[in-house]
Amino acid sequence: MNVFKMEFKKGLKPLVIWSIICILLMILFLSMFPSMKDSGMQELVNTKMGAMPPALLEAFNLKDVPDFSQLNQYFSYVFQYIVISGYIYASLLGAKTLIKEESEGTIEFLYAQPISRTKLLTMKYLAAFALFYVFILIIGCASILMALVVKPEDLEVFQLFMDFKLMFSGLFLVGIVFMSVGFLLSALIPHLRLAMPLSIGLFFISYILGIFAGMIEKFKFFRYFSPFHYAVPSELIKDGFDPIYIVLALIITAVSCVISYTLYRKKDFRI
Amino acid sequence: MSILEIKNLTKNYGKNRGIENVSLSVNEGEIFGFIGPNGAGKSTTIKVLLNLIFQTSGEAKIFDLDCSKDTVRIKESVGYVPSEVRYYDNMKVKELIAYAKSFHQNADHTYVQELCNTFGVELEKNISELSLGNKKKVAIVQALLHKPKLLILDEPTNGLDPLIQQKLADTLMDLKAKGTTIFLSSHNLTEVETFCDRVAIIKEGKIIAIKSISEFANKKTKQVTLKLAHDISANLLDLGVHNLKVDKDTISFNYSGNINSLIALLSTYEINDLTIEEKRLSETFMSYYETEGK
Repeated sequence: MNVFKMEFKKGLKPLVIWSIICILLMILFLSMFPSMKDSGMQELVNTKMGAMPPALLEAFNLKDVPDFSQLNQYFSYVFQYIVISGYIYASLLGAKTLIKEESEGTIEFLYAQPISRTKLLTMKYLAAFALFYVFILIIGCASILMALVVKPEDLEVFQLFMDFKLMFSGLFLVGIVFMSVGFLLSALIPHLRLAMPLSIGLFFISYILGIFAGMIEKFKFFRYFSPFHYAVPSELIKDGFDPIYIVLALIITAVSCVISYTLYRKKDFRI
Repeated sequence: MSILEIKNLTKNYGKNRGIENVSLSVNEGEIFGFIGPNGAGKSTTIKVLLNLIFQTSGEAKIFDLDCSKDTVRIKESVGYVPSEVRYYDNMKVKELIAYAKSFHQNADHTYVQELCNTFGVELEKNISELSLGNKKKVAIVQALLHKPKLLILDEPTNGLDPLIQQKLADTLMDLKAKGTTIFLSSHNLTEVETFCDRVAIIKEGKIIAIKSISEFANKKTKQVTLKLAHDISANLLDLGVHNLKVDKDTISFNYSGNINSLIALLSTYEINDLTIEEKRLSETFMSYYETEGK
């Protein structure tokens, strides 16, 4: 438990920073909602949207033009940007943990202690998992509070909660996928300085593949390679989870974990 | 009983040289020196012992347990001071020591406090504020706090001031008296000379000699400098001296033969001045691996 506690403690500062960034983003978006609700604004937005080519609408997940005067739909649209930051945070959580100890040489201290590599990895994984869970709780509570402030009279609180629950579950599920792939990267890469560009690169490549899948019929299967598109917030609140994507998410997570453990238990630490 | 046993240990690092067929054994309660120049393979050997890296072939055992399979059990009773101490920067010294303590059940608070006092470790300071030597002091405390049966030290005095070096020497001698086995890697030959019972010399990844300090001592060489009017170089060379240098009326040379023969020769001449110094053991080591390694 000592390693878990230490890892969790070390992760608190980045957690606070990422939470603040996401909450600020949300305040910014939600503060615009009252003006969106205004019917004149909605008309304006719709006209502009109508003029955009369908492929572009697809790229921004605007295919079925959301009704921005509805808080749920508006939020689900803006929420995808929060989700992107969340996934990047999750990938970094994974990608940094293992290689950081090697690049900074601290593994020489840590692994001179009586602890197995398997236990070390498990504790680090659980700590990252816990940090990400706390991150979701923080921004989840913050967004519900903010939504209640701007909520129109006619929207039922219960419905709002259920939709939020769905969106945050999606963020958690796919976040864990990115975190596990990050772990795998962390066991593979030779230096810490590769962790940030590779994990962010990996996220955006998969994201763009997902966009291609929506724009070009022939590449529809690309969507399977884009974990972001497993749980697009605006689609989630309309149709719920697609079981195929849940299964895929679990498979990627499991496979990444198994490979990470296998590699980490056999690797020569670079110190 | 041997505490540490290495047999034909080889580690290949791709194009870089690692170690080749290293074999040695360290007995319980002895201080074993492991010396060699930088990059000779000292740290590589230690990293295999601690399972930080895996050997290509051969065997490494501590307490008769396999260094890769039983590493957790081994480390319960091993203390390690790395040559380059690197800790989590954003941590206080006391937090780090508490963290190290949390891995061991038998670390008692008073002993840790005692160690901190001995080595003058400042507990309230942040790790990032510490100099190289001060980090090393923390590393020594952290390696000793669970009273390990085997202590592995990789260039321990590097960066320490003379006062702390002396304290470390006292502590090591004290631990040895209590039965602790110490594996001391170093390229500081004087350090090895002071502490060790036996020494292994490693060069370019291979062990070139393993001897007890007393064996080295028997081969001790005298360094002789004399002043006289005659040139007696030829007679001296007949006697078997080496490194002979003549500078005007001063003759200096090294001699490791029978001292009576030398005195007998010198007594036949009028000598103006004579100094006979014992060549330091460390210099003997030096010549040892300079020549035999080639």
